[in-house]
Parts: sequence; C-alpha cells; structure tokens
Amino acid sequence: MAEDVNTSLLGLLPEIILLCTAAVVLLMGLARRDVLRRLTQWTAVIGVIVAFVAAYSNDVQSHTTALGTFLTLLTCGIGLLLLFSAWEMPFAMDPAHTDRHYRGEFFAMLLCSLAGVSMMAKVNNLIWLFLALELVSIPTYIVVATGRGQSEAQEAGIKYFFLGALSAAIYLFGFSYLYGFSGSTQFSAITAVFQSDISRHQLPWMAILGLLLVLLGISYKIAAVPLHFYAADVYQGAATPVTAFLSFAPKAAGFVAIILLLGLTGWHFSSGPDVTIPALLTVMAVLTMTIGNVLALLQRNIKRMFAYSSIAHSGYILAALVAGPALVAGGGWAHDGVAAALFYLAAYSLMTVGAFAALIYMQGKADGAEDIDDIAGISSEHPMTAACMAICLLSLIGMPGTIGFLGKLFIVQADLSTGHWILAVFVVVNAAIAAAYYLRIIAAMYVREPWTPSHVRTTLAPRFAAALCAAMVIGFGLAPSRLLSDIRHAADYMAGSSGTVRLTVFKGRAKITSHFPTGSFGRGRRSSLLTDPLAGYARRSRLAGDQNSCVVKHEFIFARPLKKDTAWSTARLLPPSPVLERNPAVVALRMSARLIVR
Amino acid sequence: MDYALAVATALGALSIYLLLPRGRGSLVKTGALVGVLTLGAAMLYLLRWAGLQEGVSQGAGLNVFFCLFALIAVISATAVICHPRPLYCALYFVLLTLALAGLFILLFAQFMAIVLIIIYAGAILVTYVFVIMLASPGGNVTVADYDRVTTNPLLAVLVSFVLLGTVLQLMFIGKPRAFMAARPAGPVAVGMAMGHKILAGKPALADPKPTSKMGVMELLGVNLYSQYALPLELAGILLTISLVGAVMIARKNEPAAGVLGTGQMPTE
Amino acid sequence: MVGTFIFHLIFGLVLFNVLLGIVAYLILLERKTAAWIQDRIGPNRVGPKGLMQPLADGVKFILKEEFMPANADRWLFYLAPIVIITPALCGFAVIPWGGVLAAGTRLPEWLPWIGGWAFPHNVPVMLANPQVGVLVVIAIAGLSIYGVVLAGWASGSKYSFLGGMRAAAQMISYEIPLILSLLSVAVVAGTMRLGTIAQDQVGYFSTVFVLPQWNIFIQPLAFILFVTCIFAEANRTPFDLAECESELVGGYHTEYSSMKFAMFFLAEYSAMITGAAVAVALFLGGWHLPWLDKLLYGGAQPMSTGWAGMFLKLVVFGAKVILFLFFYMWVRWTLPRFRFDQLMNLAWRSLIPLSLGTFLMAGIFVYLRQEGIIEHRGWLLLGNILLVLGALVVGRWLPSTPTNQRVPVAGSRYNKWPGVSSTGNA
Repeated sequence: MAEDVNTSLLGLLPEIILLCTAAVVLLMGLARRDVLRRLTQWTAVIGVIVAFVAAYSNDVQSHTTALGTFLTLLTCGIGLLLLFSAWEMPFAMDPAHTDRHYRGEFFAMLLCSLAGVSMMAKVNNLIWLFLALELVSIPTYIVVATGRGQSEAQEAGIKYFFLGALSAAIYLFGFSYLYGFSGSTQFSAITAVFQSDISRHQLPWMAILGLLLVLLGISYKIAAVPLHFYAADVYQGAATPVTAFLSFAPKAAGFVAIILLLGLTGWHFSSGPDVTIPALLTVMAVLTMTIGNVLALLQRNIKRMFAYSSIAHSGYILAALVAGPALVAGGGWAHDGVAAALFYLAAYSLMTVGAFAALIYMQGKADGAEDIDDIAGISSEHPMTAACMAICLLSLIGMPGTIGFLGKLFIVQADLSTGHWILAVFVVVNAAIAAAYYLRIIAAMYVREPWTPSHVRTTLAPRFAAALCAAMVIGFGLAPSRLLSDIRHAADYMAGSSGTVRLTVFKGRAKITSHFPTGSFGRGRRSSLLTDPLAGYARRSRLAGDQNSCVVKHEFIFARPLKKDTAWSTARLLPPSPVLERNPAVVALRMSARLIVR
Repeated sequence: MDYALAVATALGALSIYLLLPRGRGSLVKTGALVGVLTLGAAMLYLLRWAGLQEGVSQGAGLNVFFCLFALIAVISATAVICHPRPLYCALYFVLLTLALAGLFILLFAQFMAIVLIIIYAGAILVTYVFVIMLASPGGNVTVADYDRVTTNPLLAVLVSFVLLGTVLQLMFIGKPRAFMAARPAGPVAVGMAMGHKILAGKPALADPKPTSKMGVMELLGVNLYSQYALPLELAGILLTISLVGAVMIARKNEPAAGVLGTGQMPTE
Repeated sequence: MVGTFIFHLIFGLVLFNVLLGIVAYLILLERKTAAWIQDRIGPNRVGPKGLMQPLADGVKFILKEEFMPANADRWLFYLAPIVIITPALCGFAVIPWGGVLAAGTRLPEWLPWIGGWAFPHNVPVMLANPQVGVLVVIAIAGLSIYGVVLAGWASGSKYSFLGGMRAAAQMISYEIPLILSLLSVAVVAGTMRLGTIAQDQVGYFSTVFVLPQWNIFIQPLAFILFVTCIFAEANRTPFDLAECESELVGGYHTEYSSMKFAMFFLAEYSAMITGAAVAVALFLGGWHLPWLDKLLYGGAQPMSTGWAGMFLKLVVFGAKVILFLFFYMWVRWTLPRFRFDQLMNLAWRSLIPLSLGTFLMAGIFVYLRQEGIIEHRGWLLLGNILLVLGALVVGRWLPSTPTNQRVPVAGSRYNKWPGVSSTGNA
C-alpha cells in the first residue's frame, strides 16, 4: 500500500511542485519587504518552469501515462504564457490602490488551478476526479470575483460561482450513478464492469444515465451548449488576464475529464449498438459550434466575442471526440478523434492566449482593450503586437500555415473517416461563419483609423507572451511533427494498449509479464501497477526493453491464498477487445485475481 | 415501461406543482391530498414489488423502519422545497437529514449516518438557521415575495420529475440485477443487496458476511489512508484555497484606514 | 437475542426513571450547594430538611399558567421544548454504565412460564454500544443547539432572540474543541466504543507508582478542554450568556412558563448528567474503582463480571457522576460570568489551537506506539505537559487580545472620527 502511494506521488511531482510554489507565492505576497513582494511573479514563473522540467524526467514519466505527461507539459507551457500575460494584473485590479494586497493570492490561485488541470489525466478514481475538477474551478471563481475592483467582476464572480456549483452538483449526481452501477469509484473497477457489460452488447441503463449527467455537468466547464450561457457575462466581467485563464484551464480540465470518462466505457459506444451517448455528443457539438459562432457575430465587445468563440471551439473539440480513438475505429492516425481533440485543445489554447495577451498589451479603458473601437487602427502604432494578434486570429479562423488549420483538418478528417460526415460539414460551415467576426477585428486593426488615443502597458510581459504564442502558432503550424507524435502517443494510451499480459501462478505467487508498445514519453516504462488489497501487492518489479517495446515482470503476492489446482496455470489474459485502463496490466491482474480466487 | 409507476410519478409531479408556494390562489390542500395519494400508491407498489422479489409464498413484507424513514424523508423533502417560510424549510431539511441517517443505519453505514447528522444537521444547517433567523427576526413577520413565490414552478417540476421518472423506470424494470450489472461484491453491492433484503423484510443482521474482523471505522480509516490518501490530501488543499479565497473576497478595500488602528500594512 | 433485548428494555426503563428522579433532586442539590457556598440554609420547609422540595416544584410547574406571547411563532414555540429535551435524553443510550454482565443465571425451574430460562451471557450494561459511540455523543451535542435557537426565535421577544443567537454562536464555537478533545482520547484508545474506552483505562501506571491510568492523568489537557467545552455546551456558568439574568431576563426561555419551562430545566440537567457521564466514561476511568479493585479482584477490574460486580460498577460510575455534577455546581456558584467577546476569544484563540495540539500529540503518540518506539502511556502525559509549556511560551509572542475595546461606532461617544463608523464607511 505504501508503495502505491509513493508510486503515485512520483508521478505527481509536477503538481506537487506547482502547489508548493503556490504556497510560497502566497506567503511572498504578504512579505513585509517590498523586494520580496516584487519577486512574487518571478517565483511563480520559476515554479512553473521547474514543474515543466520535472514532467520531462524519466522517473516522473514512468509513473504516469503518456496522456498525463502530455497534459502536464501543455498546462505548464500555457500556464507560463498565462502568467506572463497576467504579469501586471494585480496592479490593475484596483487603480486607487497599488497592488500590495492581492499579488500573492492571485498568482497562488492561478498556480493551484494549473496544478488541478495538470493532474487531471493522472486521476484514477471518481472522487479524485471530482476533487481535481474543483481544484481547477474554485480558484477561478475567486480570481473572477476579486480580479477587478468593479461591480461587473463581482457580478461575474457570483454568476460563475453559483452556476459552477450547480454544474458540480449535476456531474456529482452522475458520478453517484456510475458508482452505484459499478460498485466502485476506481476507474479500473468501473472499466472492468463496463467490459463485462459491453461483452453482452449493451450498456446498462444506469451507466448511461450517469454518463449523460456527467457530460451535461462538465459541459459547464468547457462552455458547451446546455450550460454555455454564463460564458459571455463571465468573460466580459472578469479582468482580461483572468478571462484568458478561463479560456484555458477549465476547458482543458473539462475535456480531459470527458475523455477519461468516455474512456471508461472503452469507447465502445462509437461502434456499439447503443447510440445514446454518441447522439448526445453529436447534438451537443452541432449546437455548441453553431450557437457560439452565430452569437459571436452579434458582439461588439471583444471579450464577449471571444466568449462565444470559445463556445464554438468547444463544439469543434466535441465533434472530434465523437469520432473516438483510432483503435476502436480500426484505423490509423487519420481516424483518431481523441488525438484530433487533444491537438485542437493545444492549438486553441495557444491561439486564444496569444490573442488575449495582445489585448492586454493594448490597454483600453481598464485592464485590457474591450470594445472593438479600442483597438481601431492600432497597427500603425504597434505593428508587432497587431501582427501577433492578427496571426492568432487567422489561426482561429483556420488559415493554412497556422496551427488552427491543422487542428480543424484533423477534426474533419477524423469525422469523415469514421462516418460522421454531418459533423464534418458543420465544422467546415462554422469555420466559414467564424471567419467573419475574426476578420472584423483584423480589419479594425489594420483598416480603420484610430478612434481613441491608444494606451499600452509598459511592461514587456504580455507582449512577450503574445509574440511567443504567435511564433508557436506559426511554428507548430508549419512543423507539427513533434507535437503530433506526442499527442498521438497520449491518445494511443487512451485507446488502450494492444499489448499482451501473461500471468503465471505458482504457490500463491503470481508473475505477470506484459509487453507493450511504447510512446516517446515513457521510454518504454509503463510499469506502475496500482494494486488493491484484493490483488495483493507488487513484491518486485523488473523492467527491460528498448525504445519500441518493453517487458514488465511483476511478482505478486496475493492477499488470499490461491487454490492449489490453479498453480502453474498460464493464460493470455488481455481480452481481444481493447480495454481502456490506466494500465492494462491492472485490469488483467484484477480479472485474473478474480478467476483464481474463485 | 411500468405504467403504474409512471402514473405515480405523474401524480407526484402534480402534487409538487400544486404544493409549490405561489403568490395567490394557493392550492396547497389539493396538492397535499394528491401527494398523500401518491405516497400511498408508491408504498403499495413497493409492497407488491418486494413481494415479487422474494416470491409470494414467503409472504414477505416491507421493513417497518424502512417505510417509516422513507416516508419521513419524502414528506420532509417535499416540505423543504414547498414550505413558504424559509426557516421551516431549513428545519425540514434537518428532519430530512435525520431520516436519511436512519436509512443509512439500515444499510449498516453507521459512520455515514452519524457524520451526516454531525456535518449537516450539526454544522451546516445550524448556520442556515442562524442566517435565516438573523435575516428575518421575530415571530410572524411576512416574507418578501421573491422569497415566497417559486419562479418557474412548471419547468422545475417537469425537469426534476422527468429525471426521477426515468430513474424509477430503470430501477424497477425487471429485477435488481438488471438495475445493477452483475459484479463482484464491493462494499456498495453488498450494501445494496442488504438494502434489497431489508426492503423485503428479511433480517439483514442474520447475514454472516460481508464484514471481516474490521469494524466500520477501521475499514474507513484504512481506505482513507491507502486508496484515497491522495484525494484526501487534495481535499485539504481545496479547503485551504477556499479559505484563502473567502478572506480575499470578504476583505474590503478601506479608503479610510486606521479607524481601528489594526491590521494595516505600512505604506510604501 | 431476546434475553438481551428484555434486559435492555428493563434496564432502559429503570435507568430512564432513575435519571429523571435524579434530575429532580439535582435541582435541590444545586440550591443546597448554592446556599452552602453563600452561607445560607437553602430550601428547608417542604419535608424533612427540604427533601420533598422537588415534588413541590413539580406541582408548582404543573399548576402555573401556560402562556404564549402574541407574536410568537405558534408551531415552533411548541416544538422548541420537545426539540431541546430529545437529544438531551438520547445521550443516555451510549453511556457505558456498568461494563458487561456475564452472569448466565438460570431461573429456578418452579417458576411459572419463565422457569428454567437462562439469562444470556455477556450482556453489555448499556443501551447501545455502537462502533461510532463517541461520534454519537458529538452528534447529540450538535443537535442540542436547535432547541435553544428555536425557542429564542419563536418567542418573538428580543431578549429571547438575543439569548438564542448567543447560545447558537457559543455552542458552535465550543463544539470544535469538544470534538477534538474527544477524538484525542478515542485515537489513543483505538476505538470509538465508549465501553471499550472505559475499560481501556482500568489499570495503573506502574506497579510502583500506583496512579490509575485514567485518561485524566494521561491527557490532562484534553480533560480540561473537554470540561470547559461541556460547561459551555450545557450553557452553565461561567458560560451562561444565553440566559444571563442581568442582561437578558431569562434568555431564550424568557417567555416560557409552566411545564414548557420545566422541559428546559429538565433538558439542562439531563445534558449535565450526559456530559458528566461522558466525562466519567472517557476521562475518569469509567467504572474503575481505584486501588480497591486490587483487593477485590486481585488485579485490574475485569470487563465482564457477575451481578455483584455489575452493581459495584454501577455504584462506582454513579458516584463519580454525582461528584462531577457537584463540581458543575461548585463552579457555577464560584466563578463569575464571561463577557461575550471573552467567551469567543477563549474558544477561537485558545481552546481550538490547544485542542488541535492535543490531537496532534495523541496522533504522534499512537504513531510512535505503533512503530514500537514507545510503549508506556506516561509519554503522552509528558507530551501534554510539554504542550502546555509550549503554549505558555508561544502565548507570550502572540499579539494580545484587545480587551475592553472601545469600538468607534458612528455617532457614539467613543467615536473620535465623526461620521466614520467602525466598518470604515463614511
């Protein structure tokens, strides 16, 4: 048991670093010396960088999944950009007061929320998932409400908080059904139960009900249709750096949570007899992108526009998720809806954070340009920033050569190859609609005359963030191979591994040998076995293998004595259909343990 | 589809709709009548169902305590949402909590039951009652309209009862086995199996399983600090953040500092 | 099973009636104690030495007029006495009055109907010994707030309302250290069953140093915290701000009369008995008869005893409870009442940190004992002493409580800044 906790802790090293940094930052913001207080932002940045580096280390990676590593890296990367764009934020919160009070708290909240997003893919039971989702959300409620000394922010905070609590209640309700149906909160146990039900070609009603509720509840986090209506008010009311944060953290967390939960079912719905969940996802996707884009057309306030555009982009990602992972569809990379979704998530985060950073730099009335008039004709005075903004906006439209184009391409490809052509059509049509309002901003920057005298921030940080985002949007748009391979491995994990697991039992001890293809992250070490009291504990684990495959040998001692007649029984235990699990060895082990104990 | 159940659900919806507080033309009495009818029908239905489960020959009935607690729970839950005065709603909530604790005890979840009382009745609802009393001091003071009249009663009733109806239909179609997938005996499965036994009036105490030597508390402790150790820590972090956030939101930016002369930072 | 049930039924009935009788005489004891401390005679008219006084009081209560204020909330006004008495009486159920009865007596054959019936073996002499016993005590303490608050609010009177609000705030605050001190005892005992915890204390520190190993000697700090908190929970002096006569007439029961008022009285004294019994069971060694048990049993008192042993236990337990109740009264007539801010400061700034400290100490002790580093419970006593010393040292560094602060409320005579209230709004 102790091994189990330690194992998980090593995998969680980046999150622990983030949380510790949050604590340090919190205290530094309260320091008596001004020098220390000025170092707050730098500490936060250093913490995020250290977490990023830690996520690269082999030791950490061998204790988590490829998806976990990918999400941590994405979170730390985008988080760094968000920190830069929020650099001056506490100064702007209350013009009458120079910061002094809020700096530490503000950055600590951001770091906590980032830690929540980052650990999202590493969770292995429903309770943990719920807590991680709340860890993402609660700091955002607070920074929305306190981010600005204006009543709009408080209104936005109240709306965001109450509706957020409502959505949490809905998905928690869903969790309770999943728990009631499977008898466990552990993902592995739930998967095993789903597995046995799927083999009878039907999902139990209770599970479907639970999943529906969970999807509806989480649609709040990703601002998708049934619970999307808060987005515009909250995005507008919150301070602009907070808005940028909102467009990344809850969204990434929500999508990964959806991926994990759909993963529990083994993605069987996409080819199985039951159409409830794919139908729901399809309807959600279509409505989300259409409503988002159409309403965005009507906005003059840029932040509201981005809110609706954020809704629309959630629709695109949902459209990708309908396609499901590659292995189920039986095809290769082009069929991989999960990979397309993850890619689009990364792409969207880059583009939107870049756009917001540019907005923050072009200071309007308050802490960022808001009305479209604020940025009219700004290209003549600030060509660099305007260019960054334009690049990000073009990428949001989906111009070839940018990362946004690739993202939409993959989504359309995945949908078409899995037969969801309606969704593909909707994505394309919506991209065309979206072009109208993005182009309006670009036109305002480049074609119109300046309307009001422009103010800019003197700090370099938001500008730096915008430039970095623009560079990455172009860079990954032209040379996406590295990002693609990482995402592919991350998604590959979600599809389940096609490895084999061999179990040998002798005198109450069992040896498990497993072979898995590996991704670039883990260097072939998916060895972490989460054990439970039923299965016993891993006494010794040995690793061997090379870049492309690995052999894991575990020797187990079972909690209960095994029967004599099962001694030396060897079996191929991984079922032919792909199992979706944190680690396939665990499922195999549990199933075998059950067999043996019987 | 089970039509008797559907009718009962619809009746329940009607009664809640009638009972929900509204400004004038109140139909509380009709609603209460329909509600009583619904409850009676539901009880009869449960009786029949329990009989079907165990086989008529055994002449099984419902567990008396289950019926008692369930009735109290349903009635007080209805009162929580339907009573026109907020303080009464809070008090009915306390009653609901106690009834639920009773149901938990029937499921051998003693710890859950007591903690439910300590946390909900003893802490959260006391605060509710406290706040409500402070907000509306005195005996028979009339409450403002926005506190008294339900907004959108029809929509609310429709949504909740469609959900409830769906769940009920799924639960009662066929055997409980179809309701829960077949699975190894986890704690919940055992609890539910016991629940079915209790529903059917069988003494669940006689069941020799499922506990090992460990008691409720020991099992809970071991689980919390092995399987759920990380979530537990995470919950701690979450609470700390909420605390900091609450202070952050509650703190005022006082322009005229120094009246009380405490807690002020030196100016830069 | 049936035998146990019948035993518990009879025991419950006897217990309930005895306790209610004790409550009546507690009031007499209280008045006598007050008189003794104040150098008076006290009630001495009814019966010999005033011993029939409780009866007279009862008759008086019944004969008084039932009164309800005009703007009282009718339902809640009736409900409050019921709500306050129920949890106070529920607490009796989990108190371990007399260990385990291992008589196994067989009734003589010649008796009609029940002849030859064997009394069940190993019956716990308490109404219930649930796994979550300590938590039940806590839950009951939590529920007892409602009666007070409801009575205060439903009366429709300002005095009552203020009394109710004060009581609620006080009880919520003092519940936290109460729970923590209870838990630090439960953690060391390794169980939440009150009976087991009581038996756990039967024994001595060592063969030479024959101090009984009661929790009061092992965790004195936890005991002090616990006693302070049950005083506050029972709304007794020095924490009786909810009903302080000099400010609030009668507090939350100002408007109550006749038997409804008697219910409040009954509830207060029942709660006192419950608190005293919990204190005895958890801290004062339960039924352990110190030193004499060596003579009687040749060693520590066993958990299971026969009839004689059971009655001895009942007597010992009862005597300890009565002594503790006398301590209640002694305090009441000796110590003056706190001011409300002092009360809150005491809870939040002293008791809660200290009780967290005791809990931590208990946890450390249990961990070290599990690791086999230390064995003897005396280490925990040392830990408690260290904690007190540490608190004294740390206390010197903490900012002092602003006492008797003049709050510059706008318009008040203390306000040196005209037009600026204490909240800083102009």
